[in-house]
Amino acid sequence: MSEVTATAPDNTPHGIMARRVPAFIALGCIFLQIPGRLLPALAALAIWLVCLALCDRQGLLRMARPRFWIVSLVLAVACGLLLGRRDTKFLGMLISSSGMQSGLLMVVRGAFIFGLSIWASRALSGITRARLGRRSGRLTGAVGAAFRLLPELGERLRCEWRAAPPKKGRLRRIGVLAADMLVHTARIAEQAAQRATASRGRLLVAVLGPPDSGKTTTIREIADRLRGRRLAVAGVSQPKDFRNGSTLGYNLRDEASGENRSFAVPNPSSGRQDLTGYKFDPGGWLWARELISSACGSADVVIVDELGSLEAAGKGHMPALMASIRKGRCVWLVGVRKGFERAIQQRTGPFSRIICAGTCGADLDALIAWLYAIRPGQVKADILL
Amino acid sequence: MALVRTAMDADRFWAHVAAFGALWGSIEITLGAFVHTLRLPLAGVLLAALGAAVLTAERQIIPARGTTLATGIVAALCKTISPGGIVLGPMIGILAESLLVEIALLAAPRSRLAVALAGALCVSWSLMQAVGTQYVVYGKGVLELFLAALSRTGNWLGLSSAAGLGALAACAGLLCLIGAAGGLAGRALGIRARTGLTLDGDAQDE
Repeated sequence: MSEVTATAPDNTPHGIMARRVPAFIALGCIFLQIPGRLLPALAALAIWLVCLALCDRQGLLRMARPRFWIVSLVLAVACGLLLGRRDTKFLGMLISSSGMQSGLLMVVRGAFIFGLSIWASRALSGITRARLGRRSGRLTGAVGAAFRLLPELGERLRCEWRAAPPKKGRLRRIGVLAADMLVHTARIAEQAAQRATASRGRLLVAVLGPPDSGKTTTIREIADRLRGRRLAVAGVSQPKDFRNGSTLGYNLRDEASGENRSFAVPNPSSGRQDLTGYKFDPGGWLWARELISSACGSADVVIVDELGSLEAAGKGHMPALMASIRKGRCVWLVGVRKGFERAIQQRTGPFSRIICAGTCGADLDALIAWLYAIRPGQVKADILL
Repeated sequence: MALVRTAMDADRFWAHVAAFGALWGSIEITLGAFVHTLRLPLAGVLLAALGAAVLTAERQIIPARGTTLATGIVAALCKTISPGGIVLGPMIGILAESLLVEIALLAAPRSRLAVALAGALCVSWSLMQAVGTQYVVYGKGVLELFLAALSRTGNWLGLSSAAGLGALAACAGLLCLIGAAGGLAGRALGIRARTGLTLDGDAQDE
């Protein structure tokens, strides 16, 4: 598949004239073709060929297509043989002179229309690319996105076809291949739609850091300071259950009411050190989901803590977070485990701002001031994204 | 029937239009160039049936009105980067096919009858466009020539003119059946894809 070659159009007066002059000549030639007589049609073809030679030499070269000329000549001869009374001998065959004349007219007219369509196709391609580059709008955006998707989809079509067993196996698997291709395309569309929605009405601030770096502490510090500025803060944080010098697990904390509940306890059989090495309380996920869902719409700032490997795979708090992002317009303050930020942004859309866990002092002051200034309702958030 | 009502619906609408327009465009560019290079007979019918399958499958996933037409516009514009050179005819074909499918699916985008009709219309347009293109390129003489050739062939085979026209109608009917099959296959694939996507969503929720 050819790549999109976005050559800048020549917008100098000379360039514009070079595009417009052939259009006027084409109109004149079309008028010459209308009576359906051989001589004016021949004149129109000659004028158009000269015009192409001067203005679009590549277009002229593209007229050298043997298939078109063979078909045209066969039609002309067929006209001589099939139309009208056979009254003339040509190459030993009895043919109709009137049929031959109309066949010749067909060839001339066909050649002119063929040349015209080549020039129009080339001009249309150039104009489309130039206009797509300039205009903004949903359709233009969709066409731009489709152009960007073309190489990937073309490559996937080829790969799927090559991956199937040859010959009969390919034909048998064609339904499966087509279904895979459709699911792939639909999935791309759904993800793009989710990203577009997510990036429109949301301000997502990420507190990033590895385990034990102080993400939850930083989030709660920010939350307290925003509450001090009379902003409503809700959602769920995930503080460690730290007792007698050792971590006993993780709690869930309702940031609106301050209520705590046990959520995760170590699962020694998993042998893992990260959060997936814990055994989670299924009721905790439901509780967190309800808190996140009810926070959106009632609070200015919604906290969702400890986004990591589960959320990167679309599990854990991610469905609740995405539902909440789709639902409303507010600030989401999320704690993100280092290493998963890219995978999480692929689901939520880009973070508006990322700060490191443990940030304090002037940097934290600046963040609080920024959050206060851009909170929904204060300014149009889209401008800042 | 779903209509584009909210900003979120609009995001979904345009995302699907872009993705499926790109899919149809890439089929037209890669497979279209391939079958035309091989000079396969009925290449236009094959591409039209595939187009019908893509469009009807898309409407199973997103039944919003206007999706098919917008997808056709995107696919037609994608065709402008085709290496073939002459894109005007295929672009008109893509736009007309998407318009016909849109009209056919207007009332019931998921009904079997509407989908079969959409496929048949799509393929019959490719036939009409083939004849129409000949008319535009060579003038009305080419139609006289075709009719004369048809009548002469009928005479050689000892068939009446009515039988010749009947044979022509049977061929057209057969091609429409191919189109209808393409539309129905697209519907089945679209339902499978929709189910696959729903299962994905459920897995995520769990």
